[in-house]
Amino acid sequence: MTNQAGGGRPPPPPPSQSYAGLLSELMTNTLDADYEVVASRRSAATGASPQGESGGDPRSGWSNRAGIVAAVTAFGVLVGVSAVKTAQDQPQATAERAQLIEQIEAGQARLDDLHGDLSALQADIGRRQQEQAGEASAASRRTDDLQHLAMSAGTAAVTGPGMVLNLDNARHAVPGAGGLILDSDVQALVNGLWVAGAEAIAIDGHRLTALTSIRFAGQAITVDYRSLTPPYVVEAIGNPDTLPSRLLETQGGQLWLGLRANYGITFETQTESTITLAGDAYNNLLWARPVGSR
Amino acid sequence: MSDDAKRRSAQLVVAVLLALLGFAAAAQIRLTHQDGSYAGQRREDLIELLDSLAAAAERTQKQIDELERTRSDLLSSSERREAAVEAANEQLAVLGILAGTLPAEGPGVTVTITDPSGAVTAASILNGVEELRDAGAEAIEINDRARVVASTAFVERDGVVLVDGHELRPPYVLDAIGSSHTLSEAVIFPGGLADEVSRLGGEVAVEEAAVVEVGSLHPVDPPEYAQPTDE
Repeated sequence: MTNQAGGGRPPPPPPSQSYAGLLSELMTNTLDADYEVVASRRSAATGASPQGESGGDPRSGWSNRAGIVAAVTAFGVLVGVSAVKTAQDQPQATAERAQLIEQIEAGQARLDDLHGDLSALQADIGRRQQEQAGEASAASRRTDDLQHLAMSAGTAAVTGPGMVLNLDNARHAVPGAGGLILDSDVQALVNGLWVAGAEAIAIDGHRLTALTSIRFAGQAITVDYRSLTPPYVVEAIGNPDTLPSRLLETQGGQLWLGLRANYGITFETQTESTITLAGDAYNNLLWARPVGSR
Repeated sequence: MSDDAKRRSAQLVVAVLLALLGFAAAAQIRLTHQDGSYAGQRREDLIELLDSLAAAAERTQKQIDELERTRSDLLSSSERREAAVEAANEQLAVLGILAGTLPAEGPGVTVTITDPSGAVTAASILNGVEELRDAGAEAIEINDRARVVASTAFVERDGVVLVDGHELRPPYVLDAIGSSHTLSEAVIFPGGLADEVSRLGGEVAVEEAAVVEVGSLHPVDPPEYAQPTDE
């Protein structure tokens, strides 16, 4: 680079032969020279340049600006259209996706409902099963109670060891002569059997219950309103080892020993290892009810 | 054109661009936001999830159907059981009254036997009980202490009447539940209890009542020799 000395002169034109020079000229002077040329040309053409260097041709400024605006606007429109397009396209692309998600959410809600139903059902069944287990054990207790009560009341068939008594009027007995078996005789005998520890008694197959009456009608004993014909068979379940001897110690037993000895009435006893007595078929009670049941 | 106008138009362009950018961004965010917790999942994942949900729902529904059948079985069996329980309870009430384990009440009579001379025997009382049974008495007790059941034993020891071990003293008061008219007729029937007691120097008074309570109980001990049959 040369530096020529000279006063008042504008900077000499830069050397144009070197790349470094060109680059620095571009950096430093850029368009200045061109603008000067254009400006001088313009002032020459109009004769005046009121707008000075910064003015320039309005038309050429407008077209420049219009280009920029157009480009920027086009860019903006592109971005906008793309955004709108995306916004429009995306629902289409995700319409299915949104629908899927909706279905999934509905499916999960339904599954939750079903699980709720299921656990409610399981709880309900568990409760009922527990209830029924309680009922079943109550029912089995009730069955035991019923069985004991029915055996005791004489309504259930029972079997066990005991004794059998054969009773008959005296031969050629006539009323009033003492050879006939009276209801009070049978009552006394049965009472004696209960005293001696009998657990169940039947006369001629009729099981005795709390309702059974032993009466005398005409010439015969009636048990439970049914007239029996002698000989009478009395069966009693109890300890076969003690029942006969204890019976004879009772007033009823003593009575019958006297009847046999004094009037020729038949009074035979024997023990049995197995006696089976049917239960008395009973109807519901007509008058009596448990206290507080009504 | 002035600098002001230029600045305004430039600002306008920037404003429009920013508005478009904001719109696009908002649209994008809105769409993204809709996905919620499924944002990261592919369409295939979603379909698979939906399928497995449907399968799970079907399994659960099957379980529910099964349990509902179980429950309806339980319900009908519990209805049957309730009917059986009701029948059993009725039977228990009847048997409890017959066996003397339940207090009973109902119409009936109160028979009072006075015995100033002490001549009334256990046999007389047993005879009276038989008369009441014959007249359809369903529950009987004596002196509010001795419940008369099938196996009730009447014993006389040293002039004292024992009914199932209860020492009874006159007057003997028999409460009997049944048809009050029939029961009272039976007691005063010629040749019946009233006649017998008056022959012994006592007196019998019968009082009919709309409600007689037979409150004493007879304990039921399990039998030692009698066993239930298999029928």
